[in-house]
Amino acid sequence: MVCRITYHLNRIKLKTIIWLIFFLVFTFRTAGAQEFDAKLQIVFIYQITHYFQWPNDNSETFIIGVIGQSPILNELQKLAAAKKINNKTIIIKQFDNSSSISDCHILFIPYKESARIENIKKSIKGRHTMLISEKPGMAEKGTCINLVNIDGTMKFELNKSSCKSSGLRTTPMIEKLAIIIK
Amino acid sequence: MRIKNHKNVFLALIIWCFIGLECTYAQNKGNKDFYETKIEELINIPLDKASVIGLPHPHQKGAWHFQYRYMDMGMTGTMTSDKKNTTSEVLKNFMMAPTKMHMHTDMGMIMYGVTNKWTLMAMANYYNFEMDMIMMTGKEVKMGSKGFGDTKIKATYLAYYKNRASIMASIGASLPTGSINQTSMNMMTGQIEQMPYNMQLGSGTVDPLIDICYLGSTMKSSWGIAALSTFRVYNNKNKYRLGNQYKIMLGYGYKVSNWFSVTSRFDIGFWNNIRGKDPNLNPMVSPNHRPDLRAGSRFELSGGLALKVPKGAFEGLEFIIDYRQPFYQRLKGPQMPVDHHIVGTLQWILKRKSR
Repeated sequence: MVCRITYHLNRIKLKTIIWLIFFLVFTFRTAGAQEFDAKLQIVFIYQITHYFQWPNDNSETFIIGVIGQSPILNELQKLAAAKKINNKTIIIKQFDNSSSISDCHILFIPYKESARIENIKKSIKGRHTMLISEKPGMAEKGTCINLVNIDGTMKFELNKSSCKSSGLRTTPMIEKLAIIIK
Repeated sequence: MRIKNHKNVFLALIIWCFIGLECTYAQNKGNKDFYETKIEELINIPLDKASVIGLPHPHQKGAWHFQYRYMDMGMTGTMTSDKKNTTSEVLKNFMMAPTKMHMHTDMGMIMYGVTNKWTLMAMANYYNFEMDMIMMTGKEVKMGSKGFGDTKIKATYLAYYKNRASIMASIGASLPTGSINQTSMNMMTGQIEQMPYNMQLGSGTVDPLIDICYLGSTMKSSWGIAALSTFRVYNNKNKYRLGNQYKIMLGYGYKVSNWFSVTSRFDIGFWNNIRGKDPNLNPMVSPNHRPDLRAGSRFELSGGLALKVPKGAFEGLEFIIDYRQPFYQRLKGPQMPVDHHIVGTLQWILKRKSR
C-alpha cells in the first residue's frame, strides 16, 4: 500500500506542486482574516461616539485603544488623521497585553484576542472605557458593544449594564438600533 | 477557444491576482465621506462575500440568481491507469485511437429563493463536442456533435445557518433532454453510424442528484466543502446506463475589494463504468466505444478571478474566470484524460431589498 502511494506521488509533476503551494499559501494567508471589513468597523466606532457620553471627560484628546494586533489599527490611524471626535484629536494606542492597558475612551478587542476578556475587564475596572468586540457571545461576557454578522449584515449587540458599570450613558436612539443583551 | 500554453495562463492568473491586490490598496486610500455614514445605514449594508464558484449555495427569500457559463475542456491522447498511452499502443487493440477532443459548453442557470430555507434551481446546457481520431491506416478522422444536454433541476434546503456557517442539502434530478442518438458518417464505409458514448449529449435517463454542502464566511472570505452525486438507476432506450458520479469540492474565495475577488478550488471526482451496452456500437472500433473503459478518478486544482459591479443599476453583476488543471488522473483506459478547463461565468444576483 505504501509503495503504491509512493509510486503515485512520484508521478505527480512539478506543476502540481506549484498549484498545491499556491492553493495552500492562498488559503492560509487569508485564514486569519477579521470578521468584518475594517473600514466598516472604523466608521461604526466613529459614529457610535456620537451616541454616548463619557463622564467627567476634560481631556483634550479622544483615545482609542486596540489590544493585540489587528488590521483595524491601520484604518484607525487613517481615521485619526482625517477626523476629530467632539472636537478632540483622536489618538490611537496599541496594547500588547491586558496589563499594559492605560486610559482610553474606547478599547477594541479583535476577534483573536477575545479569550483575554476577563483580564481586560480587570484592567479597565474603575475607568470609563467602552469595550467593543467582534466575536459572537462577547456582549454576554461583558463588552459594551459587540459587532455581529446577522443575515449578512453587520449588527451590534448592546450590553447596557456593562456600559453603565463603565459610567457611560446611552441614548434611547442607540438602544432602538441595537440588539439589547442586558 | 483553444489554450495552447497552459503555463502562460497560470502565470497570467497569478500576475493578475497581484495587480488586482495592488490596485485595490491604491483605491482604498482616501474615501473620507464614508466616515459620515450613519449607524442606521451601516447596519443595513450587506456584508457581501466572495464567490466560491461552483459550490451549491442557498439564496434569501425573493432573490434571483441568473448565470451564464462558458466552459472549454481540452483532452489529448489516452491514458490507462495514470500512465499515458502512445497512439500505436491503442491501435494494437482498436481500429481507431482518439488523439484530441474539445468540449465546449454553454450553460444557463436560474436560481430563486422561495423562502429563506428553500432555493430552487434549473440548469440547461448546450454542448459542442469535437473529437479527432486516427485510424490504423494513419488517416485522421474528425467527428463532432452538438445540441442541448440534460437539464438539471434542484431544490436546496438550508438546514443550518448561524453567524458565518451554513449547512445545506440539495435534492434534484437530471432530466434526459440530451440526445443519446448522435450519429456521424463512417469514413471507411460511408454509412451513418452511432457515435461513441463520450460524444453523446445526454444520459437518456432521469438521474437523481444529491448534494450536501457546508459554507462558511467572514466579510472578506468564503469557503466551503461540498459532496455532489449523480446516480444512474435504470437503463436508457439504448440499453445502457452511464456510471454514477461523485465529486468532492473544497473551495475558497477572498474578497479583495467590493469589486474584485479571487477564488481557488480543489476537486476530487470519481465515476463508474457504463453498465449495459449500446447494441449500435462496435467495441472494437475505439476505446470510446467500450462501456467498460469509462471509469476513473480525477484530482484538480483551480484558480479564478471575479469582477463585480458594486453599485448602480447593474449592482451584483459579476464576471468570473476560472482556470482548472488536473494534477492526478487515474483512468480505466485507454481513456482520454483532461488537460485543462477554462470557465467564464457571467452572473447576476438580484436580492430583495431590505428595509
